[in-house]
Amino acid sequence: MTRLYLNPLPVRIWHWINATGFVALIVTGVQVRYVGLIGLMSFETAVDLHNWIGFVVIGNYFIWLLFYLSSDKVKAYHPDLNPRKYFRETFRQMLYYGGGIFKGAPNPHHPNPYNKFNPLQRMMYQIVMLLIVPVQFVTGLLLWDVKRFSGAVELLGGVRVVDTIHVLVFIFFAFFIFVHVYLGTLGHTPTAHFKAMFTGYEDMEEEPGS
Amino acid sequence: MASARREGAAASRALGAGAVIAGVAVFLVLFPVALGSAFAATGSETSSLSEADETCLSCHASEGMEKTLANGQTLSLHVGGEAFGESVHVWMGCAGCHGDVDLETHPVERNFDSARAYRLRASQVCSQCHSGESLKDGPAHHARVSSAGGPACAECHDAHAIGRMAEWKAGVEETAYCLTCHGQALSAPLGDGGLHSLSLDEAALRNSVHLDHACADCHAGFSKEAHEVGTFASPRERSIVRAEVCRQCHGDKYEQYAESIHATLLDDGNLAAPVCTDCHGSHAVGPKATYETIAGVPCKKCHENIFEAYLGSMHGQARSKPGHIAAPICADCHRAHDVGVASTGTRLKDACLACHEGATDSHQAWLPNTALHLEAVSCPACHAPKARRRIDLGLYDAVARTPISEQEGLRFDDRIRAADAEGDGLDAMELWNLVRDINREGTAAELSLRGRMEVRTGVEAHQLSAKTDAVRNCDTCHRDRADPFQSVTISIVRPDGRPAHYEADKEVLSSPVSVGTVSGFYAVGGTRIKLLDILFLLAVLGGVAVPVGHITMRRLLKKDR
Repeated sequence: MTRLYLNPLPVRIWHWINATGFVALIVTGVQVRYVGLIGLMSFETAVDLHNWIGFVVIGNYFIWLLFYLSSDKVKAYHPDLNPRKYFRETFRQMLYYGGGIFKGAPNPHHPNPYNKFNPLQRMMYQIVMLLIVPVQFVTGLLLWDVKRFSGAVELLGGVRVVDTIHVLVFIFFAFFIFVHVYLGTLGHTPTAHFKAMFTGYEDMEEEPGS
Repeated sequence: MASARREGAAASRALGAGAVIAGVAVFLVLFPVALGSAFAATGSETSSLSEADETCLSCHASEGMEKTLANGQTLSLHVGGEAFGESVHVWMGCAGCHGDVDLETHPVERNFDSARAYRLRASQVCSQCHSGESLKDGPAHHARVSSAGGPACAECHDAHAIGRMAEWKAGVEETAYCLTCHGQALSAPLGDGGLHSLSLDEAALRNSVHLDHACADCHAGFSKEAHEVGTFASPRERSIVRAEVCRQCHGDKYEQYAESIHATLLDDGNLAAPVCTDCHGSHAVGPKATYETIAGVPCKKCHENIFEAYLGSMHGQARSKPGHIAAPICADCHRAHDVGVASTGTRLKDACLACHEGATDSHQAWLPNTALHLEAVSCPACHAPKARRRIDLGLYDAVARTPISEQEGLRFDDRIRAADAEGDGLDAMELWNLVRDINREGTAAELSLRGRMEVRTGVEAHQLSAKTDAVRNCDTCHRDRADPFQSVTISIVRPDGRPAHYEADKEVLSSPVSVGTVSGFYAVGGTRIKLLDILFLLAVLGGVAVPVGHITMRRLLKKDR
């Protein structure tokens, strides 16, 4: 068993603020959208919380962004620019989650600080962090003050279009967060990845024959 | 007039000084001959009177000689001998007009229903020389001889003290000249057999702000020498044309009026639309303050129901209190002359915010998306809490960012009836097809729909309550099946500036296809798309099912390892 420092402090701070914020945004978002069906708090409180937490999560995003832009750890997202190898590894990872994992096959991905994500994580996290999350931030910001950003709102097709995009992304995250948490339990122990996200260190099982 | 005044004075004396009259009566009975001689002597001071006339005046020169008519009125029988002696008719003598009087049988018992009935009958004598047809040539008499409501000859010219008109005209003030006839019951015949009053209240005229104006200042073409004959199809048309004269002095106000919905309606042929005189009166024109009081505001004449609602509102209640002129009355919000269409544009909201200067900030303190709310929700939608609300989806040019008007050739009325084949209000797909077709044709630059929450009627828009009663609970609107979203209309601005509303199915606010049509209106929680709710439910179920399924598979296959 070896220990690898996979999660630097800025990443861990960002992650837990982000995770907490996402859950809070989902809860308050559900309350805002389903007044009358859910009574966790008043509509006004839910809107206020949703707005404030939204700004915190937006600000927090830049911790992640600036860290990776200023660190060589950004290689974790692109360990090598070899598309053929990337697709081969992606296919192998899909086979693992779809089959090998049920048969006790070893995880084909062996993380290190510069290659800590498996190919599926790499693809998904980049889509999420560079596309979906910014879309949610932008649409959320526009909805926060529709008149202030009326030009952008009109450009996107109107407030209903902006809101529909925001809700569709919200629906995606509602799904994603379940799966994300579940995938977090697929370390060598169910809590290994969670601990690593607190301590920064991931315990790595020795590969047979290594 | 002089006769009327004299008669009125006699009546006063008859009613107020009965004792004097009784005394005169006794005096007449006891000393008829002596008194007759004395009065005859008085009358004979005018040498132009004939002996026969002097005989008549021996009785009729008596002050207070009168007769009580069937209706209780008193008819003076007094004739001023001196005045008659100076009249243009003195050469005719009494018998010239009273040829039916036979001194052998006089007085004959004759009765009349009223003094006016007597005078009208007497006028028939005048017409023996001054025929109706000849008088019609003179416009000043046209109404008189054409109408049973016109004054009798003596009511203008006096019965006995008839002067030369040229001399009289020269000496009388112009307004007084006009009032000679128009100060009395005077009317013109209408095509339908009715009468149009031409009378005016002299006292009101004298109290108006136009006191210093002569009649001809407004009534061009009328003077002591000229009197046009109106050729108007109706009194209304006459009022409308006559009101044009106001612009001579009030050009600035007229320019404002010309921009108003009232002027637009009038231009469109709606003769009921008000002109200057409908609000300010024709002759009893008061100072500006007259029209800014609860009692004097003219708007209520046409907008009675709305004014009643206003009176019950906090504004109306405040204004009704003495001295509370700060509270708004009609013109403070709608303007006095350039009255705009109330249900379109931002003018009324601007009027609210002009008085309630801190309103934007006070809303900002608690209302998210304040600017959007203030734009998309009309003030009464919250501040008239008992009003029924609805969502109006106005046709909007997304490129020009202006409301689309019917006058741009959309033929929207025809289109919407064609689109709504069942006549039950446009549903989401029908609306989608309508917008798509219009945009395909390129009739409008880019048609979209802009939503606005408003109250359903003008009456409800005036039921404003105190601030503390205003809707402040977000749940009122931001919840499923909230009341305001149960009524939806589609509207287009008509050529006259007013919106034409068409019913739509409430589903247009929550249908997936409305993302493309009603893109400019959305109320979180209240108009959410149901399909997205289903997707959310599937996402949550899927989010749970994936781990559960995966875990299940892992456990089931664990024994195979």
